[in-house]
Formats: sequence, structure tokens, C-alpha cells
Amino acid sequence: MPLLEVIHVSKTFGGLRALDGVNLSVERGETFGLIGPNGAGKTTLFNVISGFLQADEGQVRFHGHDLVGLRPHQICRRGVARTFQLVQPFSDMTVLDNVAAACLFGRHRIASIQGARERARHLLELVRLDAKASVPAGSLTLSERKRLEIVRALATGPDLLLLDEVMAGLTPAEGQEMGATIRHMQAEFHLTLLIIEHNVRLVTGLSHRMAVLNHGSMIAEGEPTEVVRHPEVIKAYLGERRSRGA
Amino acid sequence: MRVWIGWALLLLVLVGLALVPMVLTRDLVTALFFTFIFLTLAANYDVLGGFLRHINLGQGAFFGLAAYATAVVLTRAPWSPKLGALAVWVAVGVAIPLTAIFAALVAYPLFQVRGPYFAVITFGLVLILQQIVLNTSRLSGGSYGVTIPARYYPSLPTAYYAGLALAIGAVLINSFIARSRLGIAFHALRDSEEAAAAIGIDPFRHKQTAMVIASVPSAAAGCIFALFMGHLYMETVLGTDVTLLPVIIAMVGGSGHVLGPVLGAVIVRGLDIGLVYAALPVPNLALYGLMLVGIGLFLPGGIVHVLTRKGR
Amino acid sequence: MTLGGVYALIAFTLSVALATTHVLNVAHGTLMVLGAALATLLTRFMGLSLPLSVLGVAGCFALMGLLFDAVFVRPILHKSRETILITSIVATFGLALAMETLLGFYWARWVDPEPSFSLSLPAPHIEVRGIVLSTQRLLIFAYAVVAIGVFHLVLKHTPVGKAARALAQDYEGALIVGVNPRAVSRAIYTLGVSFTAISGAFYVLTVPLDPYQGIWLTLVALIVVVIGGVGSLPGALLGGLLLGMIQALTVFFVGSGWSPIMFLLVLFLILVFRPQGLLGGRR
Ligand SMILES: Nc1ncnc2c1ncn2[C@@H]1O[C@H](COP(=O)(O)OP(=O)(O)O)[C@@H](O)[C@H]1O
Ligand SMILES: [Mg+2]
Repeated sequence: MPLLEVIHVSKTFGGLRALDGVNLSVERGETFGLIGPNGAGKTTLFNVISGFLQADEGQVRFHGHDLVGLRPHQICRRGVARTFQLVQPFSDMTVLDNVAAACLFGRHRIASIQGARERARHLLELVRLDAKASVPAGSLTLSERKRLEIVRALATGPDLLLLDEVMAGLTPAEGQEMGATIRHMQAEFHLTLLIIEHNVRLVTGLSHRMAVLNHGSMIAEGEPTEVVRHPEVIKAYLGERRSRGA
Repeated sequence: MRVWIGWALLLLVLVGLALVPMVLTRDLVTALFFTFIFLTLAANYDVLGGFLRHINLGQGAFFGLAAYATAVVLTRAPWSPKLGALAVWVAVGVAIPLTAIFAALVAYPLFQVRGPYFAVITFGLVLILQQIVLNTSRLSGGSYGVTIPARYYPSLPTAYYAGLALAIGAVLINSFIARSRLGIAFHALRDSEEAAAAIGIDPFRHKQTAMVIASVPSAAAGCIFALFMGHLYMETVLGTDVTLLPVIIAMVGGSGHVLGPVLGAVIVRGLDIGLVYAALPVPNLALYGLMLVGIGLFLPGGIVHVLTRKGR
Repeated sequence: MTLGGVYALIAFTLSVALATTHVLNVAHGTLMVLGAALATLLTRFMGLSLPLSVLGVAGCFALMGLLFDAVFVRPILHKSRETILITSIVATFGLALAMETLLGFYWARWVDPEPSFSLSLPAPHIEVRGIVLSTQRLLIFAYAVVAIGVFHLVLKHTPVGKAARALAQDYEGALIVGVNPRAVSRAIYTLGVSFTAISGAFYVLTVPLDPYQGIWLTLVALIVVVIGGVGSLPGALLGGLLLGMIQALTVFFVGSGWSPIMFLLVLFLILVFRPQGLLGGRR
């Protein structure tokens, strides 16, 4: 049984069909890359999986149980964590407490604040933010915020981690480093990853399997190297590049 | 070293406050009693207003509801005359849980909205209770008010100490929240409700909890106030001052800081008592209004933030 | 029922101001009461005709709108959205309180010990083919329709209106493309405040107001916005008409004192069962 199954999910905003009968299944332990041009519906799919949006139709199954109708905090407690494309740190709280909050209220619900802070300190080392533990999260740089976003999601103790463009906006070197961090985390915590990325090259290196979303529909799925050579995919991306140039 | 000075000062103030009924005049003791009542309301206001930054203009609703519940039970319940002095405790025992349940229930519609809508609709809660009081005169006495039999009145020192205890309790509750899991959840919700939900914090349940916590000391304050005043007019227990003064106090002192309401209560009530003696030709409410304008425009962080140099 | 049009109008002006500047003007309803008071003063005590005093109200309150913008909006416009909101709620709540207290106090002292604002028309009813129509009601409704229409046209077709809509849709984006929020807010408040004050004058053709009803009227405007769906003009119209109808029915069946309670009850029911409002999209 796959860990996550998305079955024929659709979502419309007004007249816009952001998701159009999307199917997806992610096996336990794998890294699944989801790519597609801007506005393809990737973030919308994350919002549906994590309970921030209700799908108009379709099902989302996790460990074989239906997630539809659950609210975001309940989905988090079942073991699905997510990051936000536009990072949302708790700006007035310290970096440490950002992560400690996730330890306190996530799946494992550590009972004591002390215990949560200890665990948080350990997790911060993983993303090299331990030196910033006591500064307010609002004062971090973009790259640091992205790492905080990931480690806070990780601190909820998920089986499945949804990463929304965590490498966007980073320098190539920072992007490489982020890739290494993600690989490390996955090994240490036995995570299953579903990664949205705009940068095809970085995600191809990370993923076991990949799929391409365009105008709310899946247009290709399979081995990363095959997917990026798929003619539809090239067309979708080239189309975008051309319209950008214009 | 500085911590010691702080504790010593606190002890001194507490001892001083404990001695007040024996040394000050009746008028001043009464004025201090009112100050404690308003401090309780202001500290309670700040549970939502400070920790969660939901401006609740309806804190007075909890106060007024409990005051009326106390009076109604004491005057209309058939069992009250038979119970003697115990009747007061029964009335309080009805009023406080009733108010807490009311707080838990109104949370459902109120927390569907945020920001400006929340502020004004919570004020609507007070207006609705006012109208209910005016329209149920058989129960509440309507605009003529309701009188509690004199045998239930507490003495001034009793009321004073009860008020003092409540005010201290309310401030302690806030300082406890600030250090607890609950405080972390509130803080997270305040900074980003979406991100808080994404890490497993139930937004509604926490806001509802905050509302219920904030309603209980206010309700107790309403009970004491009702018993002390003896006669309830809608304007005194559900009027604009009751619902507004706590907000002014918290904002002047510094919303979101445990000591904010305390500082605010000292300043605002000091001014208020001064105004009574000054007997200006302008109504007090107009001055409160102008004060709010001033705070809003020039001092959005409150005095605490000036003192700690953290004004934003 | 006719009051529904006025409710829709004050809800509309309030929500446009809120959407473009993030300032919540709690004194909105108080400005309406002041408008009614000024109109009453001009007609009843200074003997001006009704159209002239409405013009007077319009002029005075256009100035008042300019002043309001300069004192309460402009100084905080550059701050964060949340700061603007809190600051404006506190400051305009204070303004509302100060204005209504002073109005009540001095009106009682100088004009009339029992402050109440109302206007009357020389010919209260007209007859069309045997049906008696109340002129007041027709006039009020016509005013509401015209005012909403004018406001709508300004938003749709003037440069400042287009800028206002851009700000309401995407504030940061609009700033980047060079929209000047100060010019927009000046126009919105000048226009909005004077329409609101005139609404007060028309309102008291049927129902008298007292000095202390301002904050309640602001609340009514917000209830209309929330019931109809935040950001929806048809929603505001529907919400206004709905409240007008509820008020008429409650006055008829239970008594006028209960209509505020009914308003809040309807609001709470809608919030629990349809939190996005009647015509609102998803939140
Ligand atoms: N809350 C929303 N309301 C209306 N439209 C939305 C909303 N969220 C996303 N959209 C629209 O849905 C489409 C897909 O958006 P999104 O999922 O963010 O794309 P991606 O993440 O692939 O860039 C876009 O056209 C976007 O404008
Ligand atoms: Mg996206």
C-alpha cells in the first residue's frame, strides 16, 4: 500500500480549474519530485493534502485512511508536515521556540517545554541554525528562514514531509547545500518526501520518481531522467520560457 | 541584585495594599476597590488582546452577565430567601459557570471572523446584552435596575480584599500563561495562524480556551461588584465604561506584557480619580475618548514599551 | 425595509475604506449621527430648506473627511497592516466616543435637553393610482441607490477609483506599479464621509436618532459586510436589505427594542453555518 494516495482530486477557484482530476501515489521511503510551470497547481495540491483547502472532488489517503475533511492540525498530528512556499516563521518568537512549538504540538506532543527545547536545539544543529537559536525568527535571512521552515516541519515528527519550493530564491551554492541537508534528513528520520520544485535540475538529482503538473493535470510521471525528456514536458517548460521572454 | 530589589518592592506594595482599609478613607478604599475590578478586567482583556492580538471589545459582557446573574438569582430564585448567607455562594456558583459557558459558546461565531470584524462584533456582544436587559424588565429590572437585598452586602474591607485577590489572580494567570505551553501556542497563533495549524496547533480550540480563561475572573469581578453596589443599573455594569476602560488600561500600560495592565490601571485610574476631584466642565467619557485617540496615534505599544525601550 | 438601502450604503462605504486603507473607522456611524444632527440643526433651528441643509451637510462633511484622512489615516498609512488596524480601531473608537459624548452633552445644554435628531417632509405621502406611497421612504431609497451608484461609478471609471480597486485587490502589487495610496485615501474619505453624513440626514426622515447610536450603526454596517460576504458589493446590498427587512418584521411583531438582538442573532447564525457570508467566495 502506498503511503500517500491522491485519487482524482479536483479544485476550482471561481472559473479557474487549478486541479483537474489529479492522481498521485507516493511509496513509503521514496523521494517524489513534483515539477511544473508557475501556476500549474502544485501549491494548491499541497494545500489540499494538508487540509488548508477542501477538494471539490476526489480523495486523499494516507496510511490507507481518508484525510478529506480533517483540519490542518489534525493532519499534522497524523504525520503529514508541510512547509510554505512563502515562508511563515513565527517572527516574534526565537528560532529555538519556533522549533520547540512544533515539538510541543506536533505528532509526538512532548509534554515539557524544557524537553521540547532540548529536542529543538538538537534539530537546529542539523540545519546549522544552532548559533541563531536565541534570535527572533523575523531577523533571519531568506536562506536561514527556508531552513527554519524545513526544520520546524520536521520537528512535528512526520512520516511524510511536503516541501514547497524550499530551494527557490537561494544561490546555487545554497541550493546544493539544501539538497545535501534534505538527503541527510531523509536518511536519519526515515522520511518520505514529496518535493515541489521549480528548478528541474536540483530536484532531478534528489528524486526517485517525478511527475509533471501543467494547468492542473498530470502530464507525465516516471523516472526523473525520462520525465524531463518527455516531449509534453519540454513543451510546457519551453512555452513558459517563451512567454517569459516576450 | 536587581531581581531582589524587584521582589522587595513587590512585597512592600502588597503589604501596603493589605493595610489600606485600616488607614485610608472610605472613599479612597472604594476607589481602589474599583481599580482592582478594572485591573482584573484589563488583565483578562489582555489574554486575547495581548497574547493572541484579537481586540476584544466585549470583555465587559462577561462582567455584566455575571453581575446580572448574581442579582437575578438572589432576587428572583425561590430558594434564595431560605438559604440565608449561603445564598450568596449559590448565586456566585451559578453566575461564574454560566458566564464561562457563555464565553465558550459565543466563541463559535466570534472566532469565525478576525481583525476589525472581531473587534466590532465583540462590542456587539455588549450591546446585545444591554438590549436583552432592557427588554426583560421582569427579570432584570430593565432600565430601573435591580436591587439586591441588603442582607447580602459584603463589608467594604471584604469587597476590597476580594477585589485585590482577584486582581492579583488575574495578573498571575497571565504570567503563568506567558511561561506555559498555552503561551507558546498563543504566540504562534498570533504570528501566523496558518503555520501554527501546520505544526499541529488547533486554532479554534486555543482561542476558545483563551476566551473561557479570560471570562472567569471577570465574572467573579462582576459578582463582587454586584454585591457591593447593591443596585445594578444597566449603564454601570454593562455600560460603555465597563467594556472600554479595560481596553484603555491595557493599551496605555502596554498590551501583551504581563505588567502592562498593572501600569495602565495605576495611570488611568489615577487620572480618573484626579478628574473626579478636578470636576471639569467636560464629560469624562469624552476625555477617555480623546485619550484613546492619543494612545492610538502616538503610543501604540503602551508605556511598558517606552520603559523597556522596545516600542515598535 | 427602506432602511436596508441606507444600511447597504454605509456598509459599502465602510468596506471600501477598509479594503483600500486597512483603517477600520469605528466612528463611521457616529459621523452619520453627526450628519443627522447638523441637518436637524440647519432645518429645525435655523430654518433652512431640506435640500439646502443636505448640501450644507455634504460640504461640511467633505471637509470633515479631509480632516479625518489627515489626522487618522495619513500618519499611519505606511505602517504594517496589523499595526494600522489596531491603531485605527483604538483611535477611531476614541474619536467616536469623544464625539458622541460631546454632542450629547452640548446638544442637551444648548439646543434641546432631550437630544433627538429627526427631519420631516412637507408632503409625507403621495398617491399614485390609488396606492399611497410614503415620500420619505421613496426619497431614502432613491438616495441610497443614487449614492451607491455614484460611488460605484467613481470606483469603476475614474483614475482614483481604479487605483483604489488596485489597492484593494493587491496592496503591495499596486504600490509597486506606482499607485499613490495617499491620494486614494484622501478621495475615499472625502467622498465616503460626506455620503455617510448625508445618509444620516436621510435616515432620520423616518427613524429619529439619538447621539449615542453611532457605534451601533458602525456595527450594523459591519454586520452587513460580514453577512453579505467580505468584499462583495452584491453581498452588501443583499445584507443591507436583509437587515432592513428583519428590522421591519421585528418592529411589527415583537417591538423595536428587539431588532438589535435579532441582527446579532442572524449574524451569529450566518457565521456558524456560512462563515464566508451569503455571497462570499471561499475564505
Ligand atoms: N486561494 C486561491 N484563490 C484563487 N485562486 C488561487 C488560489 N490559490 C491558487 N490560485 C490559482 O490557482 C492556480 C494554481 O496556483 P498554485 O497552486 O499556487 O500554482 P503553483 O504552486 O504550481 O505555482 C493559479 O492560477 C493561482 O492563481
Ligand atoms: Mg507554488
